[in-house]
Amino acid sequence: MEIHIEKLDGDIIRVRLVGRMDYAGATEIDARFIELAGREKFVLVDLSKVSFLASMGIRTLIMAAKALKERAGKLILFSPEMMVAKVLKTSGTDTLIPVYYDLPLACKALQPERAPKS
Amino acid sequence: MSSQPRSDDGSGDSRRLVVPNRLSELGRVSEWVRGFAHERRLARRLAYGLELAVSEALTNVMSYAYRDDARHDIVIELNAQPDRIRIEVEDDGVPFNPLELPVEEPPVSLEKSRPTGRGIPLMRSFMDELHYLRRDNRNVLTMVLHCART
Repeated sequence: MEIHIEKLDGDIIRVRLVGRMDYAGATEIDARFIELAGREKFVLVDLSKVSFLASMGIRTLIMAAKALKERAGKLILFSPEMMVAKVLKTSGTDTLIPVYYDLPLACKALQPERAPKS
Repeated sequence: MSSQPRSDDGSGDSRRLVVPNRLSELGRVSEWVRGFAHERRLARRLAYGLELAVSEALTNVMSYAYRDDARHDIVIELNAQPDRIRIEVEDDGVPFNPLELPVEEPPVSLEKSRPTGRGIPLMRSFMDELHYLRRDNRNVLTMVLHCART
């Protein structure tokens, strides 16, 4: 699966994933996620181009979110499509990692003290 | 990996696939399941559930069912009928009934959550029926997806 990283305002990193987050997809991005979670502080994972999410992909997201939280950082999920959102809800992941569909709100959730530029 | 059409007992049409217990095979299995769903023009919601359930069932078997490193074959059968799709996954691993696992309360915080253990809840949620049987020293997990008639 593809992973694209861009810097947003402040210290927020937007990680856009493209493809299938199954066993093979998760294996491909695991190392990048571990690296990001050890280096960055505020990470927005854009799931809008993820067409399939299975438990192995959830594992990757939760491990990164835990690692960031241990470093006083935060990870949030952005704009999953309907079936991916259902997987997040059914698995209880959305109660552990917040899901947002609005970019300014998502950025505000990551850095409440810094309002994003419009 | 081998795949062949099967004329079951006349009820619906079946496809059968045999794969070794290697997680690297999961991609090809998913492709096969997607082909099955596409041929039957299943709605995305149903096709997704089908693919997810097969993927989670196989991930569990491949990750936990074997105590050795030997090759073991896992048999997957998909059977489509007008109102339902039946998935059967059969393995020769240690006896394990996933349906006996207690339904866990969702973790209250990220700190207390485990990164794994979500496969069976997902199968329970996306499938309408789950059945387990120990047959001839093999685990047989049957999952049924109801398709609304249109």
